[in-house]
Amino acid sequence: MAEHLEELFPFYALGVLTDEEKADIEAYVATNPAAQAQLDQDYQAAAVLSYAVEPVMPSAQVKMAVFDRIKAETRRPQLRPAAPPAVPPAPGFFEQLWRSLGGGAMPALAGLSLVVALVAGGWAMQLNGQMAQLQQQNLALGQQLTQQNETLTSLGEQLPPLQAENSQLKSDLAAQNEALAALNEAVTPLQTENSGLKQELAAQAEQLAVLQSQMVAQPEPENTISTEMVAALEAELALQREQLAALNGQVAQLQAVNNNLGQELSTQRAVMAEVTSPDVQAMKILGTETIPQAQGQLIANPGEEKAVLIVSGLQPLEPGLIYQFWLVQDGQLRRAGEFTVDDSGLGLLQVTTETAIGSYEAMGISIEPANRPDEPPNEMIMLGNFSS
Amino acid sequence: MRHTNLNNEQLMRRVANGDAAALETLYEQYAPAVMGLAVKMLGDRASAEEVVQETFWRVWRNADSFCEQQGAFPNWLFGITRNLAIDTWRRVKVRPQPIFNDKEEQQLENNPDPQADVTESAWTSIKHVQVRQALSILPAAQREVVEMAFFWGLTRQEIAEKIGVPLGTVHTRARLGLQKLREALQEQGFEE
Repeated sequence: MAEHLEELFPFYALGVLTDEEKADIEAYVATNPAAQAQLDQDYQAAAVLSYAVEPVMPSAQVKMAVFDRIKAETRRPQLRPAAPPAVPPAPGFFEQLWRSLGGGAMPALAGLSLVVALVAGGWAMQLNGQMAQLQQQNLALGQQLTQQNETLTSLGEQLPPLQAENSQLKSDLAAQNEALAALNEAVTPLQTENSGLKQELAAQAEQLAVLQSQMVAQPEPENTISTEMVAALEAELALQREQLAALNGQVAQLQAVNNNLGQELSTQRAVMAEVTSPDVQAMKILGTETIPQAQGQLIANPGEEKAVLIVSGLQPLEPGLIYQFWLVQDGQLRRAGEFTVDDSGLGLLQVTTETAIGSYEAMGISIEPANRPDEPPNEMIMLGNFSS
Repeated sequence: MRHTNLNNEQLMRRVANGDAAALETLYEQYAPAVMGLAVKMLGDRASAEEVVQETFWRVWRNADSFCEQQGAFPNWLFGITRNLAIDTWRRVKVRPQPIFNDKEEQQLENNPDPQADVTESAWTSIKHVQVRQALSILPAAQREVVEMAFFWGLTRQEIAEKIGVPLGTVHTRARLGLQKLREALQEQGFEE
């Protein structure tokens, strides 16, 4: 029941409950101060809604009607006992004058009336002038008041955002204060740690100072090595360095020789594999009249595109020259490889061709400059015919 | 003689003693707000002016019943106005569409009263802005229920039927709406 009644508090505050519901709520809150406080809060919140409307000026007739009605009521004192008792009005100036004149001296009254009329006319003109001035002042004041109202309304509109900004600034400040407090809390252990480190550093500095003082106190050892001995040692060291360099050079040469031997061995193995394979044929190539002692063989399977050339009786060539091996196909010379010979005049060349060896007609060897493959061939110093 | 140096409660004591000038002071201060409320609830200037007239007449007649311990004078005054406006549309059996559009309100004659107290007018304007702003913060559903009850005078059952939600939902929206309105006004430093 109580919960149901408290649900109705907002509608009580908003003024839309039945009389019976209102009576129930009033009876309930009369014995429950907490509920009364809640109801008061709802009532205050609802009451301000009246300020949400835009003020509208009623016409002047409304005010006149209200106060005419009040005046009419005050003429009937029984309707409003609290109103002050009416005092009979005092007689006016003209009434007193009329009475003093006894109300019978008509000729004198006529003259007096004329004077009074003239005075009253002048007075009325003066009053009219004052009234016009007052009306002008009233108009000016009204305009001034309108301007002031506009200004104040504008200020009133500026107030809420400023209040909101103020509230925001306050909350920002509170947050910053909290952050500052947190920083202060974090700084304290760091300060402690820093202090400990400083103490430790000071202790180490003291130890270092003690060690330095001890080192200063110890006498320097006497230099027992003579200058001559140093020079001899240096000379020996230089000699050993030279020997080491020479040995390194020999090692490099031996490595080069070893590499060449390795390559030759590899070539010879390939040549041996070629020479010992089945279906190989050996085709002779002989020196011309220029070098009649030279001779050789091209060992190949005619159906394959590789062969091995072995020659002997050739002279080693000067640097920049090579022996060029040629194959002849369809009457055209085709370069088939270049080689040199060793001190014994023996040369070896592995040949790889574009077509099967059997498709070539003849072969020859000439002496050519190295790295000039486009120049026409020199005279052949060895020749061989495949048909032979 | 106007009593611009007296507060509302002092003025009401004078009104209760038959001082029409005190009532005139209150009229000049509050008549625009009362008229604005009546216009908003009735949507009709002529009917609203009748409500204004009757409101101040009842202030005059019932000044004895005003008790400052029960609430501020404006709340008492606006309560009279609301009840009269609700009675008006119940009498004619046609519920007007209240005006919620500021532009429409501004189309009505709204010249400031040159005799009005400037300070009080300014405070009224400030309160107007604050309450409008607080209302604008409310969720639309809560604001709708609060305004339907306050400005239209609809009962909670009528509101539930009109917007098509259970009665419990209307209760919740009204409770939350007033609560948020109160909180928003407190944040703005609203002073009644």
